[in-house]
Amino acid sequence: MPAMRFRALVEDWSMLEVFLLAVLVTYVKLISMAQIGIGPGAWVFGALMLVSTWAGASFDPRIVWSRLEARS
Amino acid sequence: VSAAALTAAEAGFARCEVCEALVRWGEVPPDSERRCGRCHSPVHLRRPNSIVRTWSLVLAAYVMYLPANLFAMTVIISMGSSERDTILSGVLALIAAKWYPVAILIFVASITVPLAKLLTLTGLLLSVHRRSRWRPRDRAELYRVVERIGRWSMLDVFVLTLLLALVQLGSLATIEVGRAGTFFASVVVLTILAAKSFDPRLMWDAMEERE
Repeated sequence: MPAMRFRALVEDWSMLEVFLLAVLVTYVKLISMAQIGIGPGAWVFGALMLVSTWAGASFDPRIVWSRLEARS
Repeated sequence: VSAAALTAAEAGFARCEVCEALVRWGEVPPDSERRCGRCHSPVHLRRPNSIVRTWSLVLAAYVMYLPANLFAMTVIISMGSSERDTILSGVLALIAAKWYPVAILIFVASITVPLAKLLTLTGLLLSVHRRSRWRPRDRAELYRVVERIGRWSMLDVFVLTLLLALVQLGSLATIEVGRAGTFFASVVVLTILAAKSFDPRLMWDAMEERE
């Protein structure tokens, strides 16, 4: 099942929460240079980070495997 | 069999690192490769060439660490004059602007974490070489911390890309990536790869040897 192997491979490189923090830092850095505001995309992106981290934390690959094995 | 716990290897099994199934190892040599019967990933008793790979990645990261901190990370060109900032001078500028939390954040993520990671991995590698029996639980915990915090060093790389994309005000102001950018990104990627190639089970092997 390459999908599960792919998931294990990319797990370490998905860094949504790090990226969100980077957005905040960039915002702070730009305040001194120009006038900027936060658009609705930022809030939705924050929500996306919460939901995807939550999903990643609650996903248990062993359930997938045990269900697959029960079927065969 | 050690008193504390029975390991899969002692029972004649290897654990698949992808799906966590136990693969019967049998009489095959310990350093060979098998396929997991469940998910078909390659399975090893210990990650192959773990020590050599981790050493080379750690050493490469040390080499990159110096230019990453000495060269300019960002070059801000505004109104015709250009201003170069290294990682440290960027932190100092944030302190001067009284953005203390952000300054601490950048300092920890970009300077402390990569160096601490490199030193910790070096220490763990040396402890495996010396077959050390010193505080194995703490060393295992140390490895888990290194594995978990590595990703946060990407923070400065992301900030850099965002600034680069956002600040394109033509003749008014532009930001360019200095030479340190590539070096810093490679330090972060190399240390993440190094942490992944180190096999913490090697530390426990030394514990079982002399029992």
